[in-house]
This record gives sequence, C-alpha cells and structure tokens, in this order.
Amino acid sequence: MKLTEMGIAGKKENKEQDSFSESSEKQSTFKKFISNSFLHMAIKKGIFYFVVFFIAITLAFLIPRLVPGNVLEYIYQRPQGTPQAVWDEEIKQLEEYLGLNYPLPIQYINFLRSFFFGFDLGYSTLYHLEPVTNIVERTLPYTLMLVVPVLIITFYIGNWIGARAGYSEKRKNKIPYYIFMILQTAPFFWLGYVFVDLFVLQLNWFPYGGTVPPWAWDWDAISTIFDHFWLPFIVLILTNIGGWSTGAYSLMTVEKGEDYLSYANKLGFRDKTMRKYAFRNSMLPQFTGLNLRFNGLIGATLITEVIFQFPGLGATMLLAFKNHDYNLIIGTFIVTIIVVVLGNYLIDMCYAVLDPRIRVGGKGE
Amino acid sequence: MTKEMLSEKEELELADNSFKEVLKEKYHNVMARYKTQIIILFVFFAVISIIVILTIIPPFNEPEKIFWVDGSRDNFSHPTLEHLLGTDQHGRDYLTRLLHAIRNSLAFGFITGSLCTGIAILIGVIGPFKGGVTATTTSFITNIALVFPEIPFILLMSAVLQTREWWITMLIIGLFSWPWAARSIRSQVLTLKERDYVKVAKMSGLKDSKIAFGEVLPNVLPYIFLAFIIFLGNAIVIEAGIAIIGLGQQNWLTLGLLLNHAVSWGFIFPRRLYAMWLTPGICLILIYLAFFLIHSSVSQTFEQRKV
Repeated sequence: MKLTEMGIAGKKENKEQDSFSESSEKQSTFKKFISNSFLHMAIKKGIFYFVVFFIAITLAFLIPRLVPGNVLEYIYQRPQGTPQAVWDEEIKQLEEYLGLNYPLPIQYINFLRSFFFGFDLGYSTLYHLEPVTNIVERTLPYTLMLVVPVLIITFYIGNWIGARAGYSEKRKNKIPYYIFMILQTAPFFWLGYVFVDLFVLQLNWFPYGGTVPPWAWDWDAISTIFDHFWLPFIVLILTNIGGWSTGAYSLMTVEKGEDYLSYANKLGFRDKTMRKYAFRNSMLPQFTGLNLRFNGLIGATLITEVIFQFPGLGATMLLAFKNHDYNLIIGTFIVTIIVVVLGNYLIDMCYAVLDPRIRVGGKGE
Repeated sequence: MTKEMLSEKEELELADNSFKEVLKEKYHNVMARYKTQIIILFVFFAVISIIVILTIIPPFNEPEKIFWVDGSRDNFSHPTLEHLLGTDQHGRDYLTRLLHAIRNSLAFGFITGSLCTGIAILIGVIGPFKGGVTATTTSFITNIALVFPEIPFILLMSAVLQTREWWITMLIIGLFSWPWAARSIRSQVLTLKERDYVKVAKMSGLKDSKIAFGEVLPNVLPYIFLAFIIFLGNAIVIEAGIAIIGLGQQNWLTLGLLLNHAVSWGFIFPRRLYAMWLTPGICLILIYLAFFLIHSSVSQTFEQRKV
C-alpha cells in the first residue's frame, strides 16, 4: 500500500517538476532548490515542533502548580517571631500580587500571554529581581558553545573512526575504535571528576570554579572563558565519540559486502577511492541519529556544566534550585526546550536537503 | 503380566536414553553456537549472585554499622586491612556500603527498566492494533516524547518536587525514557500484523487483545529484551547522574548516592580519598560494560537466527 502510494506521489512530483521546468526554463537554482515539496515539509515540521514546544511549556506551567502544598510557603520560610496569622496574610497578599489567586485556566492564559507577547519569564529572586530573560541571555552562550561544537566534532570524528575500523582489517585502525567504545561506557559525570583531579589538582593546568566573565569581544575575557571551557569540552567529546563510531562500524561492515565495491575492486580502483564511496553511501542513516543524540547531549551538557561550575543553563538551574528560585528554574527549562526544538528543526531540515526521498514522502502522506 | 511390565520398563529406559541423547545433542549444538553469549551471561550472573550473597552474610551485612576508635568515630580513614576501602564520613565500612550500593543500583535499574519496557510495549502494541484514533494519538505521543529531552525534564521534576523518595526518581526516569523503544516495537508490530497467522487468528474469532499479546508479542520479544537491557543500564547511569548533582533520591543506598556523598562530603577535593570516589565510578563502568556486552552478543544471536 505504502509503496504504491509513494510511487504515485513520486510520479506526480516528477510531472510537476517537468511542467515547472518546461514553463520557465530560466529558473534560478535557488528556486529549484526550494521546490514545493521542501516548503511543504518545512511548514509541516515547523507546526509539529511548535506543538511540541507548546506542550513542553504547558508542562512547565503545570508541574509546579500541581505539586501538593503551597509553593510560596516552601520558597519563603516564615521568619522567627512572626505570628502565623500575619504570615498567612502576607502569603495571601503575595499570591494576589503574583496572580496566583486566579483559577488555573486564567493563570494559564496570563502565562501564555506574557510569554508570547513579551517574552516575559518573570523575575529572579536570587539575582535581586533581575528579569529572568536577561540572566538566560547571559548564560545561554555558554551552553551553546559546548553543545554545538561537541555535536559537530563528535559526529565527524566518531563516524570517521568507526568507518575506518569497519572498512579495514588492520589492527592499527581498530584500536581507536575499541578505546572509544570503552570510554563511551564511562559515566561522563564521574569522568569529569577524574579530569578535575588529574588536570586541576595534580597538574594544575586549568582553573576550576570561580567566576567566569560574561562573553565579550575582549582578549582577556575570551581567554579566561576558554580556560574554563576546555575540560568540559574534552569530557563531552571523549564520552560521545563512541556512540557514533559503533553505529558507523556496523553500517560499514554491512556496506563492505555490497556488490558495487567488489566490482570496483575487480576494476582495480584504488583502496582510498573505494573507501570514500563506501563511506558516503553508508553514512546517511547516521543523520537520523543526530536528533536523538542532540537531545541526549543537551542533558549531558547540563550535568557537565554543574560538575565543572561552567555557568551555562544547567549550572544556573541548579543554583536556582538550591536558592528556591522558581522563576529561574522554569525560565532556564523553557529556554533549554527552545534550544532543543530549534536544533531538532534545523537537523530535520538538513536531512531533507541531503535526502530528497524524505521530502517526497512528506508530501505523499 | 511380568513380561509386559519388563517391556514397559525397557521402553521407558529406551525412551529415557534417547531423550538423554537428544538433550546431549541439543546441548552440544547450543554450546557450539552460543558459546560466548552463554559464558558472558554465566559470568555476569555469577558475579551478581556472589555480590548479593556477600551482602547477606555477616561481615558485609550491616551497611549502617558505625566503627569506633578510642571513643570517637573512625571516619575518613584510608584503606586498612580491617576496612579494605576505608571508612566514610560517619565511620561506616565503605566496602560493605559499596556492595550494598551495587545490589541496590541493579534493583533500581531492574524496576525502572521494567517500567519503561511496560510503557513502551503498551504504546507500541496497542497503537497499531486498535487502529483509527488510537493509532494516530499513540504515534503522535511517541513522536512528541522523542523530541522531549530526557534529562532537562528529569532535572525540572526533581527540582520542583520537594520530596526525595526513591519511587519518584524511578517514576520520573521511567516516564521520560521509553519513546524510542515504543517506536521500534510499533514498526515491528506493524509488519507482523500483515502476516498470515494473524489473519487466521482473526478469522477464528480471537479478540484483538489476545492476538496482540498472545500471537504477535512473542515474536517481538527479542527486541523487547534488548530494549530492556538498554533501559536497565541507562536507568542506573542516569540515576547516578542526577544524584551526583544532588537531585536524586535519598533513601536507597545506590551508587549514585555514594557519588553524591563523595561530592558533598569532600572525598574528592579537600580529602582526596581515591579509594572512596573512584570505586563507585569503576563499578558503574563495569555494570554498563556488562550490559553493553550482553546486548551486543544477544543481538548477534538474534541476527544469526533470522538468517
């Protein structure tokens, strides 16, 4: 059923493209690139990810409000010597001030309105009533500068190591694969402390903790940031390469048995050329794994930041948790979700550019 | 009468012998084919049973026992002959605590893994079988849950919930890590649904639920088993990860709690008690590696069977 549907869709696509090209042959390459199907898929995926984001912020709104007990009494402890009645009155006033006395649906509408029409995430009690948006704006670059390079570098190096080990029979090429396979099983948080012990306490190569200056185009600030940056970066890279290379290894071992490679071998192709062909053909499924890995990597980055006291979203979230700063917890969470959703959308679009079948399939459904 | 009896006895013996021979043959076949897998599983279960037995018998059966030296607690001691890994902040033997932590971590992973697998099976099997609205909603829920990042949600939940009960951590990890398995089970069930025997079962008037869980599910069991092993390993590691930054549960003595104490009581920075903070991590690596090996060898076996 599905095959025939897809076939029909594919034919339609061809016809459309044919008529398109006949009617106007002098189309620019850019317009051909963004064909109908691509836009269709972009919009569809966009709607999907918006729904995901909407559900996520709904959960972020609901979870603290559905927790049994009054959250405010947990945040603000009653000062000693204050009578209970006076304190209750004050809590009530605070509730009215924060809009918590309304019923839940009206609170929800207020929350959505302030979020979508002002990007207002409330005020942080920890940072002397500074808007949460400002704090997040300051901390977000630290998380991004860990996540994005780590994702790209591990993708390249991991696939390269795995494919090399899968293609060749030499032991020399298999050793790095096995090393990273074992490193992958090491829990990254524990490895982080091992690195702290080794490079900070024993060798004293890197600073640990202290204040990391906010990002600025200034050599001193950048060099201090990077001093703090290397250790979490290396830990994340070492523990994430293994996952990619195991996938690439198994894909490559399957690809090695394909007919076209033995044909190329008999034609007398160079080994390097054949390896290139096999690599290009076998790596496409790895791109589908990017989404899941990205989600996992965000979580790992949040915890790694806490361990190295690198002031990104994760460390801020934990600091907020320790100081009972609810708005900051939820603000950092929402921004994390925004990063995840945008990243997933971007990865999906890249995949659609790389693999045209996805676009056609998106239209056929 | 006697002759018949004899003959019966002889027949029985013959049958017994042939049965034994068949068993022997089967045993040799299995051993020849799945030798490495059996060895790995055997070693794994042997080690775990040794640990479990050690936690019951006397020298290691009291993780909360406090040791005293000259009227004060014997705390933060380096490894000695009496305490092979030293003692912790309250003067408790660390090796005892480590053994108990390994056992509890495995139990934690087992329960959480079964929870995840249960959710994945329910959503993966019910969706394609009910069809219509249920199928679309379940697949939509799975797709959405796939995008939800696991650890930020776990961090939010554990930060917002004010209690630190073990079952809350279990529930949170279980609720956010099932989707990929549900998706793969769903795709398997979708292909199996079109097989002939399912049609026969439908024609013979079986209920949908009976077909789904009686006829189709046993064919997906290998995948479910593999997913369960991955869930088990991941649950142990994630629990340790959220415990080390102080958001985990506090009432079960797991490897995560040991690491949390190592951070908060300064085993790592000021005191540098290597025997006490390196060992939980090494145990985590070994546990994860064991599950990784089991997973890869078992999946190899299933692939061999398919071909």
